[in-house]
Amino acid sequence: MTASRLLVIDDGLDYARIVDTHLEEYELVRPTRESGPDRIPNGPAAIEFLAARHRDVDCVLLDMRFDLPAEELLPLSPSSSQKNNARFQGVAILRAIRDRWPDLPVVLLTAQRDLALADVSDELAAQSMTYVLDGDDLDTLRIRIAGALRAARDENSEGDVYWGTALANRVVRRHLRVLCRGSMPILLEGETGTGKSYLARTLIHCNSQRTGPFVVADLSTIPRDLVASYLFGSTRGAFTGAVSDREGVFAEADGGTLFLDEIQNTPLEVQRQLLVVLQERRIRPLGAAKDRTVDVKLIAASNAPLRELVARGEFRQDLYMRLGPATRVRLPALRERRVDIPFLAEKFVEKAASHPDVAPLLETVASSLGAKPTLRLNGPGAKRRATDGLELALPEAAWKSLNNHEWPGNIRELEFVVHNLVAFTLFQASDALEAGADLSQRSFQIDPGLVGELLDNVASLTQGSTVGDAEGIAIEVHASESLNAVSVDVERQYFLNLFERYGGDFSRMAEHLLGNGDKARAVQLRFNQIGLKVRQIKKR
Amino acid sequence: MKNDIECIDDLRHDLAKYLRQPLAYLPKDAPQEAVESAIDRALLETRRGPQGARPAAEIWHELQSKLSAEFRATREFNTLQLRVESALALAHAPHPRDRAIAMRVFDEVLAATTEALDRMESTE
Repeated sequence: MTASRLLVIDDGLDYARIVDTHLEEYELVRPTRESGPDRIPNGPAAIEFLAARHRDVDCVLLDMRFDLPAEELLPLSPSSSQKNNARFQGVAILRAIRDRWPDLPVVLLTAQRDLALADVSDELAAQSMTYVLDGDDLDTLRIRIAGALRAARDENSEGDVYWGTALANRVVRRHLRVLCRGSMPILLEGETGTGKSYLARTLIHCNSQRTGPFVVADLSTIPRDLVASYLFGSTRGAFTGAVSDREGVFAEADGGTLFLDEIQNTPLEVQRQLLVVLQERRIRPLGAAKDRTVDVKLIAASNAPLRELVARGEFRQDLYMRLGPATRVRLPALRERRVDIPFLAEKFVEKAASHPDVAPLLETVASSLGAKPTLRLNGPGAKRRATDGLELALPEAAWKSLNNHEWPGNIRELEFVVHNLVAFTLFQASDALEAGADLSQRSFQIDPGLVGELLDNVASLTQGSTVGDAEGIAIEVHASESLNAVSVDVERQYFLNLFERYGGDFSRMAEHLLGNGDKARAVQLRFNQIGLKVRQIKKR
Repeated sequence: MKNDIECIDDLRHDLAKYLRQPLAYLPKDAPQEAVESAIDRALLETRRGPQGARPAAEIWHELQSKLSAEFRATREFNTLQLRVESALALAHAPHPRDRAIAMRVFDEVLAATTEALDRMESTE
């Protein structure tokens, strides 16, 4: 394994000497010398060097104070004195680095107990990939460098299926990485299917360093009367039907993270209680005589902008303020990050290939063709890479369909479509092989008509609503003899889940699906059309 | 007073970066020879620049000349002066010099700068 490369930016040779002498596990980048300690001595030279060779640097060690002539200092602000420019030169250089290389790990080196740091601590805390050395011994330095390098690797792989290259998302990622560190609640807003739940778990909880569990509470699925006991718990006899003591989700998540999904569905009277919990970090189960303290990192999610609900009197302003407009993160809709569709589609192809329903099919087809059981998507403009596995070729017309689609169900909808494309294409290939066809090529062309048909099916499925309203609904896609059969199977599972969720109330299902509870009859008709019978389901 | 604060802040920086840090960054199992060399270099070649190395004693004397008479009359300055002199004396202390003791002496100077800054900032 090659050693990570450290670039020292320091007016003196002190830190370069430390790296060169004591950190033998790293390689010191030597801008001017071939051996011995070396470093970049000032900000302008550092920016020039990085512009030419930033790919040769894995992590920057940046001194804070540079006692240099004015012409060698970057200005901290237009009016700052030379003295301040020198004292905070590390911050000025860091800003210049962040402008051009936002993901380059930087460890800011400060002399122990440097009081000057207090003035800029907020700015530094708000940056990702920036670490302040808060001790002055070799072990602490090693830990900070290793942490910065690991975080950079994690950032490249973390939430791998989610992140792309869209600028909007880079800002979101940086913001979340900072927010996940503290105990402040986080408010995630975004249309359904934009990845709120996924990010809450993979990014925020995993980076929060909390040891407790990650608990999900979907408030759209809880009857209004039961929300308070669901959140805070209840004692036996607290209300009719409370036959035993029950822990609420706040208690379950003690020491960990609580993800309150669809928080906009919280009844107003419970919102008041929620506010008290957030302020005092104490809960009192219904019927209990005493409070108990809880230590929970709260992540609230809403698919409607809470500020608008506050304006309409449907959400308490004080709770909204407590949840923190400052810690509000809006996840962009997929149509706002179309540039990421090819990337996400590729990732979802890989994910689909390892799905338990698809993997056996892939193995069968691959082994028949003497290929490895891997699957890759190739579209127009994609780099042609040699592969030992199978390849799905998506023609330009199909890419255009994917790119032009509005994606009301966002990423989840894209995943659904890609999963179906993979399953269906493999099924066709398997079918052809069974029928004795001689498939010599390992690349399978996807029919653009199939893409259009799938997109239309999703649109009809989500008419009046979106796929994302299926939050929490697990749907398995099984290969079948036709696309229509796959689609009906999916629709059937979806209807069954809704039927269960709403206790067989077609009005509520119609409200959910079409936004109109009066269309219960239409929903029931469709229910029957796809072969579902109420009596049989209730007998189960 | 503002000038005094800046001077003591500069002193803190130099103490932390040029005196304490070279010792702090030595590996735990560094040979005694490396410890002696680090102490000497910290105190006798404190600031290295194009004009050559300047010892800590020279930097300290120059800094004292910039301090106001008002500050030099305070108890905090007296404490600071005593502790700096103790630290400078390490350069001439008999060998072997103990790394932990040297670190403690430098820490005491740092603590004295904190007290001095606290006093100046509270009376500013």
